[in-house]
Amino acid sequence: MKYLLLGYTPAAAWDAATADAPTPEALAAFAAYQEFERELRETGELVSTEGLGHPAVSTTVRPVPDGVVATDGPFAELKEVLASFAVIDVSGHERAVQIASRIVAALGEPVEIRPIMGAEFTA
Amino acid sequence: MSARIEHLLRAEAPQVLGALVRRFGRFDVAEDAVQEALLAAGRTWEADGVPADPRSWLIRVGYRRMVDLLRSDQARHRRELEAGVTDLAMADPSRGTGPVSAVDDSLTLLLLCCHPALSPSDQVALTLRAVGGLTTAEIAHAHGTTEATMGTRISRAKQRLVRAGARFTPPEEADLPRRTAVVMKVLYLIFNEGYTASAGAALTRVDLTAEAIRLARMLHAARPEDAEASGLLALMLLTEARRPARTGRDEALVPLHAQDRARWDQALADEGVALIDAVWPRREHGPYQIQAAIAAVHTSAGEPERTDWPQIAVLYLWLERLTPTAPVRLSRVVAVAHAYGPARGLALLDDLNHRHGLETDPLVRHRARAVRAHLLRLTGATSDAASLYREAADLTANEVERRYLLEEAARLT
Repeated sequence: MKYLLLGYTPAAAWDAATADAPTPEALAAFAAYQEFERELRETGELVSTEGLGHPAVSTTVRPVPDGVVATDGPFAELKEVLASFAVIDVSGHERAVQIASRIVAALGEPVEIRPIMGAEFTA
Repeated sequence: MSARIEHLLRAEAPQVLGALVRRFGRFDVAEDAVQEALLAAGRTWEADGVPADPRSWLIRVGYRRMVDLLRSDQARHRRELEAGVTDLAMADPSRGTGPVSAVDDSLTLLLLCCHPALSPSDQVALTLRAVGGLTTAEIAHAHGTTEATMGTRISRAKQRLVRAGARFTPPEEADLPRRTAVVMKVLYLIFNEGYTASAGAALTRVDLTAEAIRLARMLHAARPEDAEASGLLALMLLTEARRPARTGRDEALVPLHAQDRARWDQALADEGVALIDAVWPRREHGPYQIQAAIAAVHTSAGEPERTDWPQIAVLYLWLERLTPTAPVRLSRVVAVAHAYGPARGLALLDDLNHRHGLETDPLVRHRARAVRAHLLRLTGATSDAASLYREAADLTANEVERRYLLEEAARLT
């Protein structure tokens, strides 16, 4: 069963970090997270994971009455913004929560778990 | 800044800009961000050393500057919250933007900066900054204007590109020759701006000619199948080869026939001749190749007396058919006079002047007089020649040329 894990971060923190080097604590936390990521790759549960660019570099494409229009900037201005994602393929919801919990414990930022709808739910 | 770092930054500038625009769009903002990244590199690399992967460094810093610029743009109103957790996705270099793009974006960038929606002077300024990696201050200096004026011009040019819907994608294959032709025109314009300052005391601006040659090499490398791109590079190299001999003491102008050919840059000349020799048999002749061929004929003559002027006269006739402009017509007069005598030259000058008004054309009226003066002197009409030299001197804004013409006049009286 596949789940999308969405990692959020406070927009203000991200903005403040753009110009500065990360703290040693943050680097240590990230190293712990990477170790966990390696474990998940070995069990075959991690499908893919990526960090995202700052919301400021996003482009939003919307429908308008006469077609579509692309505008620079995020879909919505939020205090907590999407910073990374992972796709995992696990036995079920309980395991997904377990994985997300370990990520949150390591990184200290919230993760949202969204089930990816397989063929059996679309009919 | 050391020459090595400066050279490195100039070479990386279009690649870094290409990487940012390819990923994030927003050419205008990315261009500013790259400029700031280059300035930051210039400041820190001298002291801290050049990083192991300079391009990644520049992309990373450029990306951060881009985020800052966009953020202040998009969220001016948003209240800054207290800083807390460091962003982790960005923190680890190994999780950065992945392998640096191996695509060479320089041609796409050149084409974008030479977009038909821009005026030639805007195309020149934007090309120098976005592709050449020159700072606004350097471009302003080269054009004898202030940094503020040049900054405004560049930012307006970028706005115009955005409004014109210009995109960072290569043009359609069918459109490519036409668009490449504009690029060549812009590069040649930069070269000529550097080669002969239209006003002021310094005859040559070394930086702009070097920059034009560097960009022409870039274009030639990106479009090896374009015979005119080869021709343009050959023309620049052959012209530049003569530069050391072009001015004598006191920055006085030395005309081609009087130049000390031992002072020509033989390596540049050889490279130029080899380029034009290689491309000529393709029979895709255009104005740049013909001009390069003319320069090559001059270069191949060991001494001025052995110049093959009949061949040059034919090449100018060919060039005149392709580009019927006043300077080309005047050059043909000179070639014909050399090949067949001053009387034939004067007859042709009369004819062309009658049909095309060379002596009233603001672009060449001083040169038309100088040529006539020279030919009259050769036929023995020295006093007519002297007064024409003086007329010519009054009509040019270039101090070096003016001095040369007045000296010629003085020699006859």
